[in-house]
Amino acid sequence: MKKLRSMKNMLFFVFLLVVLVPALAFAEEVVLVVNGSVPDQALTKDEVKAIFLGEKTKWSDNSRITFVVLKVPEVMDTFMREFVGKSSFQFDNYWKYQTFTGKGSPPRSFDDVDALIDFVSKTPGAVGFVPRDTPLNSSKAISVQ
Amino acid sequence: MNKRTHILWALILMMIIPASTLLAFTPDDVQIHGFYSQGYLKTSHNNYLAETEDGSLQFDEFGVNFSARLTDNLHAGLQFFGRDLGPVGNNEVRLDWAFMDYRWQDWLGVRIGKTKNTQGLYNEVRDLDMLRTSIMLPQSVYSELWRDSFATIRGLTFYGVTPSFVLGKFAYNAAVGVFDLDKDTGFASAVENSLAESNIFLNVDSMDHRYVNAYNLTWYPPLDGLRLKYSFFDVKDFEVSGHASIPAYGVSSTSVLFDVMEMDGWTGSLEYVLGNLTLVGEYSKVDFKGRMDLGLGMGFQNRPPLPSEGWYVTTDYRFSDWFSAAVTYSNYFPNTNDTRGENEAVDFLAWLKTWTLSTRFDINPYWILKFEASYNDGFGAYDSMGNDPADLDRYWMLYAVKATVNF
Repeated sequence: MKKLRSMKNMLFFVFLLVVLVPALAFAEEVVLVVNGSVPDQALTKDEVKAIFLGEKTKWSDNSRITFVVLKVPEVMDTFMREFVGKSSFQFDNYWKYQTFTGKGSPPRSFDDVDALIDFVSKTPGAVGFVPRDTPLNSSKAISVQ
Repeated sequence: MNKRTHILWALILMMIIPASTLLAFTPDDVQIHGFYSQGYLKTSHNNYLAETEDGSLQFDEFGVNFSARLTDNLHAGLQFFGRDLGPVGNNEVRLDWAFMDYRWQDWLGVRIGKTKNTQGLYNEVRDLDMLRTSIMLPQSVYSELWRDSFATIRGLTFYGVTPSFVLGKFAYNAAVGVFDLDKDTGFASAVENSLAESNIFLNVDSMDHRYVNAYNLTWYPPLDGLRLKYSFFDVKDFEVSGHASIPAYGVSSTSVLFDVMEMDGWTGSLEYVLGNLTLVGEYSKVDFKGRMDLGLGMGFQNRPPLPSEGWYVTTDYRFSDWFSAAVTYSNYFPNTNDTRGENEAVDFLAWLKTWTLSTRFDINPYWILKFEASYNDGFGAYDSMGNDPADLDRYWMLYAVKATVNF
């Protein structure tokens, strides 16, 4: 009986390892960056999700939101999971859905952090995500409540 | 559209597009995307949608679209699409959707032109193989019968999504317009098939309707990954005219008018996404009631109503970046007044119950390969192949393979 219980515990431990470790191993802290012209000081998590799903298209001063994505797998996976509630695959599929029904166009994507920061710094209304500790140039970090 | 309507549209567009924007517009702003799918179908018995007993490659879809943002609030686009599925489509290229989209606020936008019909969770993306694990959509809710005619609506669509609040958020879509009800579509041949059972051999010459309403509301409750949707459509003043031979009356050709008094339906949908697991269930019901003038001096005679109903459940799991699998059970009754097939040539024409195992391999983000096997009980399906009921088998397998590229 005792042997059975310890075997159960071990199986549970293995289960936790399989489920949690991949997520922890690649988890990277991500921050949201916006162009200096953006008037908003903070966003809710729901607003961030709505922006990246194309449902919220204007900042509080009614200027247009241009959102971009960083196609660095661990960064994008973390951001999508924590802020959009989707995997990177589900996010790409969502935008293919929008594209091929005419409802929207996929966001511009960058393979390189510096290129994304450069774009966000120069594009009014732009927003993207980068790893924490990335130099932000003239763009600024925005807090998410 | 008459001349007055053209002028009205022109005035509306002039009001919403500032001239300076059009002058600033460059071809660089145009986005181009496309896809191509090639499939193969094989059945153990019964020809299903193509000559599948011998195996058929007449199963493909392709599309290319162009879109551009014209102002902060306005964008426009169009998509050309073609497909082949046995006798249907034959790779003829047609305008799939084309519209101007003016989003005044996130909670209120309007699309003018030809848009996809958003019935159920997947009607608007049924041509897009890369968006799902399965090859065939469940016939209980997404019947091939409706596909060409009900894929799009030409007219006016209002749409929007509310901000999140304590109950979550709501998205809606309300369209008024017309369907592509054409005499060469599957729906026309289904009308012909349904009358053939009464020994009225109709050739449809034209199909027309005044307009259609199509509404849906999606609720995203505060539970992440859950969405519930209700969709409804109602076709007004639908008429089918043609000529028919009716051997029972010794008539070789007579002008026939089919007046459809009721043609509406609704779909209830639920989807829950938990990590890599997706659970989906949908139920659909369609009412179809009409009367017919056989042109024999008897005036209009009521036809038996044809209410249909279907539902399915799917479990889909993405095991890795390159592999997903799904299991689906689907149950369809083409006439809920005769679910045992007592009035059918063979009883199993009254239902179609299907178990499907689907697998999807993502070679890369732009190239997908799929394999699928379905075990079927019954043949209560749209039969574009004109199978002789006496030659049909009740239990049969459908195997499908499909490769898709998209950019």
